[in-house]
Amino acid sequence: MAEYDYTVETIQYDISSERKPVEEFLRRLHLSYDADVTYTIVVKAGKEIAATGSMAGNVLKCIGVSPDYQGQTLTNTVVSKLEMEAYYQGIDHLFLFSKPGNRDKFMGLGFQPVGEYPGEVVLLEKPAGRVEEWTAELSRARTGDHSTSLVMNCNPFTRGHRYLVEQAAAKAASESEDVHLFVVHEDRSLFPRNVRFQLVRNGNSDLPNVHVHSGGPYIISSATFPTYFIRDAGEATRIHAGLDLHIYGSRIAPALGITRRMVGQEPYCPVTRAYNRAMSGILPQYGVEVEEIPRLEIGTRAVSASVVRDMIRAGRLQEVRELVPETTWEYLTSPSAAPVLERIQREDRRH
Amino acid sequence: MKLIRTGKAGTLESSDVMITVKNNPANKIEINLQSIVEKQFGRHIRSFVEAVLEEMEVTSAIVDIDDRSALDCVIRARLETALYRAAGITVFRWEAIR
Repeated sequence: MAEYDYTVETIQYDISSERKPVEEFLRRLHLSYDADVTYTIVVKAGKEIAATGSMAGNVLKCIGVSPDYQGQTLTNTVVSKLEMEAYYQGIDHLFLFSKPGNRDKFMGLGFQPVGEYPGEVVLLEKPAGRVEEWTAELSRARTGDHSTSLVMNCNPFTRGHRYLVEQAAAKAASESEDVHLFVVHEDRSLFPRNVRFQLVRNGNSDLPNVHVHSGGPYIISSATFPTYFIRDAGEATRIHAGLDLHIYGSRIAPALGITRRMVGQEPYCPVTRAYNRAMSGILPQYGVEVEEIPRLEIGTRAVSASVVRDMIRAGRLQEVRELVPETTWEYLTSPSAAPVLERIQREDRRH
Repeated sequence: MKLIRTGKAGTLESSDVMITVKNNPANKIEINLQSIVEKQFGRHIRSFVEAVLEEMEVTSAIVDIDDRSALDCVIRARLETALYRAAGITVFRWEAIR
């Protein structure tokens, strides 16, 4: 069919009659239509869907072309449309999820690989060179060829986190190494990013060998690990967790000479549990040893940020006191925490 | 012409080009060209883009070009549009545009 017979339509993805045909189309291509998409287009040949593509924030995904219309051109049409839409939304850093088999096709459109979970998924970005810039900046904090790292969301920073940081700091110090602590950058948690970051900073300022970094867009972000934020513990989580860890192993660890990653055992959340499981399978491939630390227990309960949020939600702020460091408690009882606490009580969400 | 934001124009369709321009903190022209006809026309495209930039009095820019074998007139149209968008100019003096 000639090119001029194609029409491009925007899909109202929240209306099921519009969503269903796209879902069906992607399923035939063994692709899923993800729950977090914010923009979808289809290319139609007559009444039939010939290709589709979506965007979730700054991530292009769910891109598929019918085998009947295979070839470069429809992929180009879809990516062009999505890229211009992203531009109009003011997004200047794009990511793209693809099966590894289509990597070269997207590289021909100006995208460069960030990392790959072999056989499963590859994450690309545009403009090229951003991940190299970011890791070069990060490597300025490098202190040697061996170091320990932690990645935490800290929503908010609890004594459980503090316990884990202390364990890591002591272990690293015994080998005269440093600890690199990454705080998840994505601002999709009940405690805002800058608050989470500040509480981690304040709560560890007495530990001289601990360096606090932002995880940026490459560690547990909506690009590397979208299902982390939508709390979907299915097959997609296994794949995204793997992708995130391959990026960590191939990009982050070499930048800082990271040879150990310590992680707290996860008593409650299935997504985090799946992530931890994947960690011990993948990171050793990159020379990063994984060590799981039992959670700090107070009374008979493991201390976790979700327990703290549950207490706040139930209006039992006083009970939080023994679960958080003094620095976090100071914040929670300060006037600036009031809107955050209110929001936790109002919104019934896990994260 | 001063670029105050990112400007983008074009498509990735065959015979078209997608051009993204923004100010260069290093205060010079930087051209990143990716083209399916790089081997045959890479040098020509670069010098053509430089000439258009000079004509538009742009002295500081990062220009990302994803070329799908566009003709010069297409490259010019896309580049000028991207530059106008980046400069925040919405009123065009059409007779001044070549």
